[in-house]
Amino acid sequence: MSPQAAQEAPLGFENTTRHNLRDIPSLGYVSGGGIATKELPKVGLLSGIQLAVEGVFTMTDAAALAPTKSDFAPYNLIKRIRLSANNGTDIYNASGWACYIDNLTSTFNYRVGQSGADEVFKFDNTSAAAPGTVNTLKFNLFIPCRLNDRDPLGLLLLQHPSTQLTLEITWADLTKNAGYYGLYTNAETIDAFSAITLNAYPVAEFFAVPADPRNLPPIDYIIQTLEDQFSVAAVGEQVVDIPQGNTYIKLAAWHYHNGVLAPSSDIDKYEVRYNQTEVPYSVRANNLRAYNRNMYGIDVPKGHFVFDFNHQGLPNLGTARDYVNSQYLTDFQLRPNIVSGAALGTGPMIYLLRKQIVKLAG
Amino acid sequence: MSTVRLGDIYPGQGPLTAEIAEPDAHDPQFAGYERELQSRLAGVQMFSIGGIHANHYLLGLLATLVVAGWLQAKA
Repeated sequence: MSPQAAQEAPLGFENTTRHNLRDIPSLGYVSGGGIATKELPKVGLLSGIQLAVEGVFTMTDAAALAPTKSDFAPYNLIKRIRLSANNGTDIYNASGWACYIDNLTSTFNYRVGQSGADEVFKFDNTSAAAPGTVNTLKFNLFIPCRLNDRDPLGLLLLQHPSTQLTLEITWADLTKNAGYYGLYTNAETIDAFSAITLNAYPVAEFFAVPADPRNLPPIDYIIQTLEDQFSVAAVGEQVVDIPQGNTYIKLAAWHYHNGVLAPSSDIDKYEVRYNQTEVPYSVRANNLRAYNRNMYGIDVPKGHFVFDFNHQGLPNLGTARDYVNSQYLTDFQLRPNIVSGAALGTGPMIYLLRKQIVKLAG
Repeated sequence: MSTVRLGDIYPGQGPLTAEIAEPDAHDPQFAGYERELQSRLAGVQMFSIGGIHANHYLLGLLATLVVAGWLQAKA
């Protein structure tokens, strides 16, 4: 190859880009629960959004009633996180809790939510007293749109002239009793919430666009993360039909029984089944939780079960070996078995976080 | 059967998307991308620090041990 030809050859994305972190204006808490939106700056190739929720609020109660934290707090203060392209196509659409589970199962030994790490997480000093107690709240979430930290698959070309990405946050109502959304299960018995100053501070993680378009990473794939809910009618084997069409890299399911996160003992078996008879995963629920512990270095919360097709020694850094291309399957199901003694209560649900690689159709 | 179209994310034929080629046209499971990953993993690219490969460190260590052994035998 002549020196001139060598100069003209594409250098590849890794050699022609630069990692960037940049603040985006904050999204304030909407009183009574509501939606806050922000359009993302049209710069670079978006890799993800780091979201820090911080602020203070005052709780007053004449009888100094202790607020009871929801199983999903503080992450369920965010009812929905939605990252959408041109306001029509969801790239990320999940609750704050689902985003936390996504984060927890994407990093080995994830400790960002550990109490005591005061700089990034604070939700242990929560009380209500007669003259009013000021409570500080801090937590972090990462909204990924790329496959992982290493591979440039799923990056979104923000500076395309016609593309507009919008980050939308739906806040839960802090003052209402929490089931799946909100902070406290007894919020309505607390006399008053006041001086609520809570903000979500997003930071965009993006990569500089190479000058030569030949060095662009493949941008005709996106990583789509969606959360669905399936109602449970009765105990016994449940059939959760997983929408087909794309390539799955992770499925995380959690059970909501009796108004709280279900104890893991409510479920005794988990299966993944496709093409009616193929069962690649058929495990005792407790074994699956132990397997999950091995994968992530920590326990996933109770009632949670994860099938991670992108795990090979390290979470989220696997190859395509175990990916499930659901396009040509006749069916694709998750089949947990809820034990007969489980107290389901009202409105039992199975929540499902689905992470998939979507090849954009022409 | 993809649920999202390229035009949903990048409407029209912008100057940048027009340049982008398919990674692999016969690619229901994006085999082209998998190959790229596999080749990267399978190569002898051990971790490198400042451009020096780890096996250079191993050679250096071996040489040091040989010299140390020779010095000890001489003493």
